[in-house]
Amino acid sequence: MSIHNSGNVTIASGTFTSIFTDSENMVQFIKNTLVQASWTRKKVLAGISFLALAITDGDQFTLGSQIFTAYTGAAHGPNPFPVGSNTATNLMSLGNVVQSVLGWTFTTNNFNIITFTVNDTGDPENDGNLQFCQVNPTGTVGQYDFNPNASPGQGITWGGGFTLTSQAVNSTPLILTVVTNNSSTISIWAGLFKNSFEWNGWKQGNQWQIIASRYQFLFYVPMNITAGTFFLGSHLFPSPGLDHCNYCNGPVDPIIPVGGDRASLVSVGNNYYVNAGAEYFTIPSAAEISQPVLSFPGLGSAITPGDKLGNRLAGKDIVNDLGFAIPYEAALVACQSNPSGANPNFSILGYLWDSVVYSGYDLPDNPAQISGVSSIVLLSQSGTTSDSRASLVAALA
Amino acid sequence: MSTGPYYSPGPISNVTLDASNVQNFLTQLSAALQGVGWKFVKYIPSSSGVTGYALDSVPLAGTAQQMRVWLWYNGRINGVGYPEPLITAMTTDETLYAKDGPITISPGKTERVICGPYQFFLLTENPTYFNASFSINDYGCGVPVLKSTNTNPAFWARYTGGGSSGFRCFRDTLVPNNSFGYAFLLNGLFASDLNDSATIAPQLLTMRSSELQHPIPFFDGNFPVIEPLLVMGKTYGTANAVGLWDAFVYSNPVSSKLVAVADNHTWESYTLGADCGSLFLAIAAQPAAGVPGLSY
Repeated sequence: MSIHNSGNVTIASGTFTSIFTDSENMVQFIKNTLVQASWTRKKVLAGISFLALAITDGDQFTLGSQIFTAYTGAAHGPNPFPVGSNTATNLMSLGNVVQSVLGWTFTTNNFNIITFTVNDTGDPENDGNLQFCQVNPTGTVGQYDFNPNASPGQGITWGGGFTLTSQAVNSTPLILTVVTNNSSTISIWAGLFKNSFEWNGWKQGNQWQIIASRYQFLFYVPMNITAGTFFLGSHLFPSPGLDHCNYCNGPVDPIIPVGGDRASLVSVGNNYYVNAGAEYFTIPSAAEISQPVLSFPGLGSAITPGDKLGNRLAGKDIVNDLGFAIPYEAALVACQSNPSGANPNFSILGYLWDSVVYSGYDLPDNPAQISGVSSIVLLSQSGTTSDSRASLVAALA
Repeated sequence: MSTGPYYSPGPISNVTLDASNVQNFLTQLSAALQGVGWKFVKYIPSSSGVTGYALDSVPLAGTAQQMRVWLWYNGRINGVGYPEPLITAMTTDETLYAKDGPITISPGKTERVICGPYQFFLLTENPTYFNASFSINDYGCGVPVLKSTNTNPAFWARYTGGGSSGFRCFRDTLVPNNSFGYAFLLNGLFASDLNDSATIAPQLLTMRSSELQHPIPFFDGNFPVIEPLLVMGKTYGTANAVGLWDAFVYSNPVSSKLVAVADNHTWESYTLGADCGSLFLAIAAQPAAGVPGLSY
């Protein structure tokens, strides 16, 4: 039905009702479905990561039953815990991997971010290590990542999971790390290391559905379009001029989820990650989040630049002479400037796979038939003088 | 684009017409249309000894829809004394017809017609590209691309109406005026020059959405092409989109006439000037030698 067909679409459903008891199942569910859709996987060990800032000699924190003490200088033995600093140089000079006294390893992936990982030689198909999620370091050891419920000194822990890699169109496939998390059911971040955008605001107690292909991963709660119920990760069919474009969008904040909703076609502009050679949209600023800088174009009429959808088409389905809405490519458009300002810097990043936008409005989750292919409405908007009336539809077969 | 361009079986013709003489203009336009398959029906008695023509378009394959045009003259003279012959689009039984669309005849003027078996467009390259006071140059009409297999008659027309020089078919905008200078018949709904707020006059679509109010390029800076969707209808009913033949919409305006080769056809921009997109028409069903390809 779409110009950009991936070949096969995999559908799976799973119900996860409890934050902690189902988190491993949720990770396994995602991993198993994506593997079925031809993604590759690699087990991720449980770990803890934090941004070490201003640790002083003798500071302690606890991981499980073990107490770590920070020491300064080489006089404290062969395996000292690295001492934090507000300068990167000190930590990076410690080397890449050092075996700690507990049999855990730690790495300094990104300046003064320290990551401990558990040695786990168990089943490579099972993430395990859920208990590690219960570990909360105590003591003033530093700050970590961008999780809004994090407070200095807590750190982030994850209970293991998988790095999942899509197939590639040209190069640079989409890599997602999916792990359990002690403050949200799961966390997903782009790339191998926890130093990029993280999605973690999943609503609990829901049935989740996955629509996956070899390039793309839609994860959502049917019949629920509110925040915390939608994630989209895609190795897009790249726009001419791009070798590749990886894009993700989803919720953040496990306490009060923000984004990751299906309210309209501009919902894909919340908490997004775009990498087309550089992560130039890595972390949206508050201003960017408030602007729909990512969207799917609909069809409309406009007389001059700056016009939206006047000329008597506002709020109307546009149908062909058979009464059917008109499907067209699901182009993801980004604007790297104020879209309402003068000369906005628009460009098409790429196209969603196995999806179309059509020129009519239907409620999310309603079934649709696009050129005979069973599909489902994912996003839609009824249209005003400002917005094209349109629905984004994903194929189910 | 998701579908299209919609290619007619042809032929496609691009003919310069003498627009300095009423009879020459009507006769040469009639000949150009007959050259791409339109069928002569009858002569239309006209003023000042001019002979007019009624022509039917080629029936659509399968459903046989046709339209008729009168190419004729009723003695109309504009404010500076130039004659203005008329083009009138209608059903083949002549029961439903558009308002008359004039073309100004003036010394030294030529017009050009880009035509195929189902539609034609008129334009001029002098004295002005667009319509101007006492110089009306543009007209377009045709039987659209239809999905339905019913045989209900259908046609569209855009022309200069309402006594103004401001309505310029798709020559300066993809979205001409809603009040005058249009006619359409689709699924039994007919309208012509209805100056009301409920009528969606024939207009072409571009890419638009929330906060996407400008032409949107690919990452390499080129712009997509869109299938030529001509939408029309009523605000209280449906907005129906049908297709234009042998055409596409380039989703960025081009500043002047652009001739390019793409998809084994030679194309020319019909829409000129600052707009949100340009209508390109096939002027030949084969590539023109030495013409660069259109990048998209």
